[in-house]
Amino acid sequence: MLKCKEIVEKSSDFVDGQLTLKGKIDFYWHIFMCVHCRRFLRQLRLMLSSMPYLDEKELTDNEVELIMQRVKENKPE
Amino acid sequence: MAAKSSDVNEAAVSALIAQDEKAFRQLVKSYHLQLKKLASSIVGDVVAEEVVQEAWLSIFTNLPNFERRSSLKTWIYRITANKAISRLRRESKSIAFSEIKARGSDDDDDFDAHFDDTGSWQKPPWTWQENDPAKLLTGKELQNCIERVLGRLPQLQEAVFMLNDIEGKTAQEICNILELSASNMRVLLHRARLKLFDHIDHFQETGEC
Ligand SMILES: [Zn+2]
Repeated sequence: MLKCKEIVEKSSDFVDGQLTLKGKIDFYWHIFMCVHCRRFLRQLRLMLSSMPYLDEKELTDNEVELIMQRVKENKPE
Repeated sequence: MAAKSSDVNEAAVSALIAQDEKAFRQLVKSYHLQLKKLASSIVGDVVAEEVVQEAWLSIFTNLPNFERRSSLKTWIYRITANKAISRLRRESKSIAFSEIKARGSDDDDDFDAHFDDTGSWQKPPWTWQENDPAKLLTGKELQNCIERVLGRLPQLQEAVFMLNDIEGKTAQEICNILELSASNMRVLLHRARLKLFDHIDHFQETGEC
């Protein structure tokens, strides 16, 4: 049976669907038995699905204006 | 959230190729901060802004030659990454880029401390209070914490994590943008995820970063 440490090592490949069928079966068997790894995996997935919600800011119009000026100044004619 | 993974629409791409100023302005507005994050993950905060400015000039100049072989978004990321990489080369002349890339993969495995000698958990993850992905990161403190952790990741771990898990780019696009092999990219991504997990876990347990 896989060790907990190995489950963690393979966890990214598992959530990204990169394990072989055999790898998946071994993985499932361990997390079926192990409450800690189950929790690790659930929270890893939670973390990954929460990432797109990280604050995404846009530039203000003034900041855009400054960049546009530089681009225009340096533009090869 | 949808805006992040979606690309520039067809009409806008055509306008951009024609170097339409209004369309370019919108492109700058939408992507500048994302490009700056990418640049800063490669060359560091101090020169990131300068690198992206340089990239914008190059993007604008080269737009008429954009051949739609990749998406426009991948193309502008690629140009920015290239600018950042050549800046890095200039500033550390003695270091090959391959060496810099390797640095990200041989750093410490903090996460090992969670396991005993037999490979079982000795410090299992804390049970997090929040189950809703839309709410997990709403706290300003945790958000700041994550930004700090991301900023401290080795070069390229941060870039890979950002492009893959925040921006939702494909593995192929990321390897293309950062000149990485697929297996190297997987290693960098996994390490970044574990480090972030560790910090969120610690935050859930203690309320501190
Ligand atoms: Zn386990």
